[in-house]
Amino acid sequence: MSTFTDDNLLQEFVAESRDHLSTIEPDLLMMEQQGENTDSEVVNRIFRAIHSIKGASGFFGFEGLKNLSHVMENLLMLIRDGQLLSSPQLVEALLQGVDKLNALLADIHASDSVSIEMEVASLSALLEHKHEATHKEAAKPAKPASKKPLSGSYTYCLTVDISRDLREENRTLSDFIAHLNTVGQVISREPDTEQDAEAVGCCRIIFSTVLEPDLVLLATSLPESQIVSYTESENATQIAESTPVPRVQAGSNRSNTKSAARNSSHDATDSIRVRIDLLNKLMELAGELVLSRNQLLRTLSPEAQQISGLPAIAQNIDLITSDLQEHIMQTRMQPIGSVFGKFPRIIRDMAKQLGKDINLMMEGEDVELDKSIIESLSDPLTHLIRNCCDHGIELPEERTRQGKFQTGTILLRAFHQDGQINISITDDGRGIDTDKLASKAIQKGLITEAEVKAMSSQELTNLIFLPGLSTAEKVSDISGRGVGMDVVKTNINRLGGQIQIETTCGEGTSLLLRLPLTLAIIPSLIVGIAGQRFAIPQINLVELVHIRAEDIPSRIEKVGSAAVLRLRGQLLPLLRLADVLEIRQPLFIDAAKTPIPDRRQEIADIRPEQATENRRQSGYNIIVLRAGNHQFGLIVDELFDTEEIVVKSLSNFLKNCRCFSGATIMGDGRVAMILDPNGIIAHTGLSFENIESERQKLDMAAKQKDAIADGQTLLFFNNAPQETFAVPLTDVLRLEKFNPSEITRVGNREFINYEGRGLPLMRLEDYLPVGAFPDEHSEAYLIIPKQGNGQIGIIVSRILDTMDCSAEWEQKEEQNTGISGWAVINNRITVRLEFRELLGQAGFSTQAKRGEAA
Amino acid sequence: MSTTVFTTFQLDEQLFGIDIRFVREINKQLELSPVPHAPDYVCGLINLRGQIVTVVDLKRRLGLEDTCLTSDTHNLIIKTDQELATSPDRDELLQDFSIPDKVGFLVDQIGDIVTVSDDTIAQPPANVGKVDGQYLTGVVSLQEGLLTILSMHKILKGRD
Repeated sequence: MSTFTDDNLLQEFVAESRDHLSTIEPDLLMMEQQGENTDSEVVNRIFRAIHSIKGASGFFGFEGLKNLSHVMENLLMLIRDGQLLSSPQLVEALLQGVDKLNALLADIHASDSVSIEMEVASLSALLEHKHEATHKEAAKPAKPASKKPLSGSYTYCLTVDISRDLREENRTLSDFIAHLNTVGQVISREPDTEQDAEAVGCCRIIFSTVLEPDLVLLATSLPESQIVSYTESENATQIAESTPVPRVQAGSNRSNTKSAARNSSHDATDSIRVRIDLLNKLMELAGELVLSRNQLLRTLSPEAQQISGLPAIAQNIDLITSDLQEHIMQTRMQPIGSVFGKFPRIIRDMAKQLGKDINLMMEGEDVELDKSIIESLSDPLTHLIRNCCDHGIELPEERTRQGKFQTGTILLRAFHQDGQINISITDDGRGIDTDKLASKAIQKGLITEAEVKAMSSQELTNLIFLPGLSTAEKVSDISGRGVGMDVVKTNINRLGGQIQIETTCGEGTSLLLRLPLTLAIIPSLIVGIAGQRFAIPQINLVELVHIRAEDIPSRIEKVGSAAVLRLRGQLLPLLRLADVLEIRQPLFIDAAKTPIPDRRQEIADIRPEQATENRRQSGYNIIVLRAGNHQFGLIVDELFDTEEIVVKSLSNFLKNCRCFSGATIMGDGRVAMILDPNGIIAHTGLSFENIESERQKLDMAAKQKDAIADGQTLLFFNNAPQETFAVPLTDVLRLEKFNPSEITRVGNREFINYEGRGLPLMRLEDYLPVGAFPDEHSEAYLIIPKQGNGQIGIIVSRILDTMDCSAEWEQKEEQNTGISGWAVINNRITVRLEFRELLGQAGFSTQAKRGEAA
Repeated sequence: MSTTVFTTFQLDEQLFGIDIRFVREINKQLELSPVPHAPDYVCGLINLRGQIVTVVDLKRRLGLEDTCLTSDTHNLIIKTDQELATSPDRDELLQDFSIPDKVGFLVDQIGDIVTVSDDTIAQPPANVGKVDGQYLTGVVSLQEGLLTILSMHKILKGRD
């Protein structure tokens, strides 16, 4: 147990050790990947980190931590010195060690009572292998081994100018080093060899000794300025890397250069640790300042013009406040990589455990988010990633069978969009089997079969968010306890975020999380009903729609008892905010500014024609809101500006007010409630099922229409030059060009010699109220309709074109005229003919329809 | 002889008191923003220097008529846990409940601050006027009449 009671120091130690451990993990994974060829710099980094932990835990007297890290350090030292080769078992043991260290740090005071035997045993077992590896060592070039600093000693960094400090005193570098080794221990030197040092003209030596600084001066005979003392000997090796030293061009080793760059970016002087509550307080104050600024600007505006210089000052305050707020917010921002960073390990472990091949790709690790969001995001994201591994990605054999790459891929991506952070998790696994999901939900009594039938595929997919549902066939320790996705959704919603899921069975699943940049200050739209104001977070906002009173009948319909808005082919359920919040409202303000109560019982009701003055103003302001995969419209009286609001949580007294996610103080100092779309849906029990089935009907209708249009390659032609006709190409058997002079008349019927026989002809003008074939035309075309079974030809003057056409045809009222409708196509009024009816009129038997079936 | 100091106020002409150590301030800030769906005794939220305070209609909470806002109406702001944390009497005051967020009580009229000797506080009767005994911790006879002492715990319990 620690005898040291300085709590701050202890906390710093824990935080630092955690930081070290978090850098170790990716390095260990890299080591696993690179195997025997592991970059020595990677090993060094791990070594240094573990070494620092060991040193400090020894200092604080945490035996467990010290012993475990000591064993790990020994192992790493052997690897670094080439006496032991990196292997998967070795990395595994080290990872377990890291986990245990983390666990010990989590409850530092109890750390000594936790057993570390297992980890120590497996690590020590690996140490034994050292001897097996030693014979290989001879073959390998011996690496310069850095020595450990002596414990309880001082560490110094000596910069030696070879010509001035040594040569002038008839000393050589090797003499000097030998001398140093008599009074202490040289840990490392740079450059490594004497030749290199000679070339550069100077050498930097990390030196550990029990001598106190003034004695070192004597012992080394170096000027004081060239001796830097490090009180914490543990940092010595780290410092060795970070202090820049002139390098030999030829001999310098690439990985060292890299490490120097890396370490300097982590330079301790660039950042300080600040307590979170202090930042929170600053943040809060910045929020207050923003509000005060808003109030100030509002109060000033009428008088401000009168006082010279004041507007400029006000503007200045405005700018500085915005700037200040932004920067304080930035202090809380952390790259999302800090959460992403732990996933490679999770995926590795799970893939191993499940026998799967999984490749994790990550993008946008540098996207920054508020610290509090990052923290609360960790669990839900981990859950989702685990789900991908466990349920999403198939076993390698199964993947091969399905013609997929054996290795499954999970893509984790963070990106900015519309002032929000989006995180997408996409896998190419088996997707979600919505049928299975539905039957599970029914089986568990969460929904009924009838409900399932009415659901769209999207809604079926969303069943995954139902509490108490798990699709895993067997419960593993990884997932399948059925407390998953609903918790994830709740957590994301609590963060003011949204989650959407899309899946294709067999092809994969894609999840999209949409999150606000920060929890503390969110841009919101202010809306009003009955003089009360409410804030709607921008993240929930899709669009604003105004429906004029005269458009209400055409735009708003009823599905069941619910009103819906038809918006670009979509049906949106509508709610009146006043109804939701049970506020009796004056709906609109008339010209004299007197509020007039809205007497409409139903949203779709309209005012009688005669009340025109009121009618004109009684349109609807509809805010289209997004809640998960759903959208709905909320009718409000008034729309105000957007404001940046500071979110304040609600009192426990108000915890049953589900429609609100918080409250805020607006620019004018008044309190406004923040609306929560998810809560509104829950409170009103707004059902998307009816809407969904209606939407399906719409879709069906549209599809049928498409199907009709699909077969519609039309043949366009003229008879009288100004009249355009069309028939479906499928109705045409053949087209022939001929000279009108070839027509033979027999009685009142006309024939033409066609393939050696007399083909009867008909003219459109004889049966339809259309213009006649132009007399002087020197050429003509013959359309042989399928319906005529090749037994009749129709004379037309010109074939124009064939074209795919999905125009809407105005249907003709009368039946059987031969004309089925008309439409404007390419600015020409086109008459569509129906050959079957036309031939019927001409007295052709309708049994000739056989051709139609073909 | 231990004594307790009470902030007294009137509700429907009747004298009530709460332990002054709970009271953060008394003001006349009554620009209330109503909260739809809130319990009927919550009359709204106010902005108290950048902090949001939930204002409870104390009369309504005790089962009396709604408070009519008059020029005498005051808002009694109660200290939160955090504000009580530094008080030496914290443990005595918050024995089995907590005040996590800012709450204010509407009262008809503010009275004096009175110091009462603890042994003069009697057990509360089953009810005082229309106020149920469960909301009371005791009664004291003063010269100006009966002082009824309210239980902070029971009044705030409605949140759970």
